[in-house]
Amino acid sequence: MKGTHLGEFEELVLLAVGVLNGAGYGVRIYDEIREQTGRTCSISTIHSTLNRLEEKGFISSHRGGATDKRGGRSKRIYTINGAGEKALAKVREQREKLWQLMPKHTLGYG
Amino acid sequence: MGKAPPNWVFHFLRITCSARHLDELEGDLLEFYERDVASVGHRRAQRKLIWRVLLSPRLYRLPSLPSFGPSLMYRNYFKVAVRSARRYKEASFIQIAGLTLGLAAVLYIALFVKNELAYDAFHAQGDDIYRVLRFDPITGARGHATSSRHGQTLHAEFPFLTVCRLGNDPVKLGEQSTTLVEQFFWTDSTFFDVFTFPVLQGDPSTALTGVNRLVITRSLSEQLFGTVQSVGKSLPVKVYDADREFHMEVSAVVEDPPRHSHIQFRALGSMGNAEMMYEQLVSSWGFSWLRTYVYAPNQSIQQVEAGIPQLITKYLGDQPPDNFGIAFQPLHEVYLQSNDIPKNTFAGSLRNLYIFGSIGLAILLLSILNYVNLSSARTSTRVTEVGIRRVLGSRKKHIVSQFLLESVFFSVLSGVLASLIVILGYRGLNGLFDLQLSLGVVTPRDWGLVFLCFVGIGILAGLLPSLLTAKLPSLHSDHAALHFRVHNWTLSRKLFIGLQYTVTLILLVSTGIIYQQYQFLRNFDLGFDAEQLIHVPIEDRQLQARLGKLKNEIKALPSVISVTATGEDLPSRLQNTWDLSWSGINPAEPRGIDVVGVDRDYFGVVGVDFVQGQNFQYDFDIDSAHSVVLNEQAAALIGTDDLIGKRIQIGQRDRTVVGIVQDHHNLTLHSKLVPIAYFVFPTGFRVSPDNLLIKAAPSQIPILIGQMQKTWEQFSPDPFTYNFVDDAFAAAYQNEQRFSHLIGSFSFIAIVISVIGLFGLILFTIQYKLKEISLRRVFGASQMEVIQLLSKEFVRVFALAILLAVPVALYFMNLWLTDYTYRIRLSGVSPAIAILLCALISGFVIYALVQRTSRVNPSEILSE
Repeated sequence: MKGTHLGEFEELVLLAVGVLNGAGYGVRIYDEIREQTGRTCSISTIHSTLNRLEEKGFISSHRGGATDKRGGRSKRIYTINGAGEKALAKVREQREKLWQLMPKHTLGYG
Repeated sequence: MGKAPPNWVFHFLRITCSARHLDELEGDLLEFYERDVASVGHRRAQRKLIWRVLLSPRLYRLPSLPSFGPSLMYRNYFKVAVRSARRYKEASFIQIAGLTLGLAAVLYIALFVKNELAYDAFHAQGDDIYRVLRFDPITGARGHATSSRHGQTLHAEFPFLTVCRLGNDPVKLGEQSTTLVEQFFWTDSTFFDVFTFPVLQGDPSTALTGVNRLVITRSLSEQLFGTVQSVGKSLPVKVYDADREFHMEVSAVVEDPPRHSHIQFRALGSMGNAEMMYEQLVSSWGFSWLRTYVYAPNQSIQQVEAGIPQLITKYLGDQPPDNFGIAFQPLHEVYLQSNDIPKNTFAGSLRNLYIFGSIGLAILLLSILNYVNLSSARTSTRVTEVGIRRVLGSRKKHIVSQFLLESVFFSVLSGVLASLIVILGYRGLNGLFDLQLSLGVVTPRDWGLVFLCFVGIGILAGLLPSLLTAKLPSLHSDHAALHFRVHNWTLSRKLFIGLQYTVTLILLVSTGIIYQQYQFLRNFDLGFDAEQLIHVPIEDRQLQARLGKLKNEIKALPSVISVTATGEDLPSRLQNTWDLSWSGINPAEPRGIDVVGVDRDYFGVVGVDFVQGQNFQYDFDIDSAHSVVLNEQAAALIGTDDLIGKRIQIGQRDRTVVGIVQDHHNLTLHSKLVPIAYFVFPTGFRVSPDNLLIKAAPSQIPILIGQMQKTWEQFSPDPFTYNFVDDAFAAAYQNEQRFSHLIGSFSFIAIVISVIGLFGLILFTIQYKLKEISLRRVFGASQMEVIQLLSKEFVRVFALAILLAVPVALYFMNLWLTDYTYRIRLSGVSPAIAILLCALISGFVIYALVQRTSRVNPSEILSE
């Protein structure tokens, strides 16, 4: 089992999987990330990240049905699971904590 | 969903990616692809897909299925191979870069050869199509200009033949804004029965029957009508040579002929029109203007060839002219094997193809030798590894297969890199060498073969080192290593380096000679003064009638020295050969002479002196119709000593010889000097002057061109065109130039590969002998002595290579030169330069490496 640390891009992908709530697969996740954050990356990056997340046990996947779109190829649908949610919550919590501690004048709007 | 994406991309993915993820990966890629098709179009979408797959190493790093079998061992081999390559970075780089460079060069040459061989291969019945040639059984001379009778008679005597005649005639198409179409042919209705040119619109079987029917190509249709759908439209066609005009109807539109077709046309018209215009066409055997092709199904051509003597007797009487014969040239030989046929402009050269192919083979050989040499040298540094493997239980076959795999891995790696270089770079190379090679002729099967070759090279190159290594005893590896190192420097290695020197020297000598010949042609004394000579063609019949006036106006321009009106451009085409006879001629040997219409200023303008006699008296008068000026060749043909004032008969008319001029090369140097008769000719005939040659004062050229253009505009609505005669002559040697450039560049690559090989070998020699060298240095040897020690190995080999290479190169170059009428004499210059160059480079490489070694303190090496 690899470490449960969540990388920055992994976090984005995991969030996107969560947002899509059971509708997420490669292209859809790519689109979501691009639309919401404006970041573009190659599809292979998405795939390898999803793969890593699955290895870490944050998401689970199952095969969706094949359609006549996509040249008859099936989709792999990703859903976030309990461990994933926990990991996201943990990251958020850490961030919040640090934000709380941030002196206001540091940010220039105090 | 539009066009399908390329399949090979997915094959590639399937090979490199694990099965678990394949389906979704392909699905996602396809979804992106469809999206791209919608937004940026099919072609760019395809390109994007390919990049997405090829440039995404992450895709393949996805976990693979659990592997099985002996993969652990192979993985270890692979790992060791990469480690060893890393440890000897320099040598490995040299090895791989050398092979990659060599293979890229070879692949480009292969592409060239493939392109040359692809000519006329697209006709469905290509194997049974023949070009009819005139053939002189006595001299063996062939000509591709045939008369209409050739085709008619062949069809009458052998009804199973499908005959198709093509007659070139420049025409102007269109009403007001006319388009000059030089690639226009009158042809028979059988055209599409014989040849395979895809028809876009119209019925090919009736497209050229009767008269006034016109077939145009896609590009011409788009140019004239803005659409491909132009069948049924009517078009005025002005025939330049016959000065006639027809209203023709477009009956079919065809694809532009592929580049690999020796028949290049933009429009075709019914032969019926040509028969209406040219009366001799139907009856005369001598009116040789057409190209004739036959389709002879099921090998019936043999039957036809057997029947030719009878046919000649039947149509030309019991005693036909001795020089009359008919030959059939298979279509696939037309492009490459027609160099002997005069005026056959669209031809490749089989000989050049052989030369270039040989250079390709030479480079391949050099690269392989190099690779073998370096890999066997490197193998010898790994005896310890082999020893340990043997101790741990590896068998000989394991060792052999390990080194073979390693070698194949690196050769395939180089091969793939080389292919990428060619695929990505061939357009650039085309521009560099002024070629038009296309990748379209390469089939997937060819790529497969090429890949097999890469594997083959790897096996070949790995065989020797792996066998040598496998022979090592399992223990005593240090002792064995020493033995191996000594053993390694024996015959095989010397043989290799010797071969390498030989091949390099042959290439260098040949390149030098080809370059010399090219320079010779360029700087040849043509016998006349081509400098500052401007040529202006007059294509307009009406203007030709007023040529004298135009000439005088131009003559009056300030920086014009002199002007002449002539029937032949320079370099000339000499398309008018007339009968020649004189009293005392042997009637059994009819003679022909090329006729050029000129005015009396001609000889002055081109700067040709009279050997005997004098110039024409006047320009146009009764005297001119009876006078002739001959060149020295013509005088020699007639053979009489005192020709001036004698009467000879040219084209059934008596003429008095008034002068004899020096021979001058008005043809390019590909042709010999020929007998020529110069007449003063009134306007309105085929031989009448239709060019102006203007001798201009130097330094005023741009102003003069402007002035001439203004003058021209007062005379003709046609655009003013001109060229410089010396440029035109230089352009005639474009093929030689291109070829010498090409050969020079690839010889250079061969030399680079040899130098790489030499460098690598000396590097290893120094490593072997490091201790010896260090000891010698400690005892006071100078750098020079070290160099001598190292070069001893090469000097004898080099001398042998010279003895072998120079005669071989001279022999083949002598063969090559026989093609040229005017050729250089072989001398020792280019061998000497080649030898010197080789010796210098070798010396320099040794010197540089020794220099590097001597920077290290010898005691450091010895104390290790």
